[in-house]
Amino acid sequence: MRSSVHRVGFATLFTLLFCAAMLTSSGCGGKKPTAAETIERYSQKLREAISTSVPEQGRKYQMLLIVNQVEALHVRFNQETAEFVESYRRLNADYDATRATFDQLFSDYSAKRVKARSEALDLHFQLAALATADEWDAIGKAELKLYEEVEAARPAGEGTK
Amino acid sequence: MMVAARQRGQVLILLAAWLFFGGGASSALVVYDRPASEIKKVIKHVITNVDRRDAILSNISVWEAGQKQKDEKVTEYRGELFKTLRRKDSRRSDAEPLMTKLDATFLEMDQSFLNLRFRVKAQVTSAEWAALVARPDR
Repeated sequence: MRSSVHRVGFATLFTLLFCAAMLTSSGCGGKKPTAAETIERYSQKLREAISTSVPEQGRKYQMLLIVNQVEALHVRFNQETAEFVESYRRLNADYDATRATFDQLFSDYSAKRVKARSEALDLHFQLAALATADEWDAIGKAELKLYEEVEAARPAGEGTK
Repeated sequence: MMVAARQRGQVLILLAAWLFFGGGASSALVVYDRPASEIKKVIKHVITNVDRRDAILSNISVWEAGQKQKDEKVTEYRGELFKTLRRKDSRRSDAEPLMTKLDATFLEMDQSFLNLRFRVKAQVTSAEWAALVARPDR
């Protein structure tokens, strides 16, 4: 959801569909990183920003531990989203499935998202509290970049789970 | 909405860690399951009765227009949330009103999505539905 779910999501999906149809990645400008790869890559960039910006070993260590938690949180929520979509597909295939069942499925997923977001915010504010104003410039930028890139990732070559 | 056809199988991956987990259930499905344009294509292929087909396609178009408006709101709130979190001195209480707005919008989007799903289903037979949601990969 970089700008709009429809405009960006649809366009990206079509691009990926085309790539899949071509059975090649080179024709589409190179293989797009998977979500897992994106999480790993931008978590590492955040670690680098911390390592570069924070001179004190103690604070640096604490901040790097937080990044580990941020990374794990992204991985977990990815999995939860994959499971949600798979559950939806199964339910959607059932002509007789009730609205209440769908409402419950959506509600459960929403609860997981809100929980994950709350945890992410906790980690964000812990990170910000540990950084000085000068350090925060690079660290805050790298942190938001992680969120931006992960949400924009449209990984190819993976299954849905 | 409908289940994906999985020529996209390798593509439909999941992940969707929206910005600060700021995407709703229907957003995940729209992005990772099947785009509206593809749904329309399948409907045109499966539903041969012109009146029913046009009615369903019209329902989808109305839904799309509504989702577009909500997407714009989401983009606006998300931008504000971004700016807020970028500031070192921001507090959780600064972000919470924006998240409340986002959650309310996601709920509207999810309900609209499910309303459409059931509206379409009510206009097709079980056999047609099976064809609409069929996944060639499975």
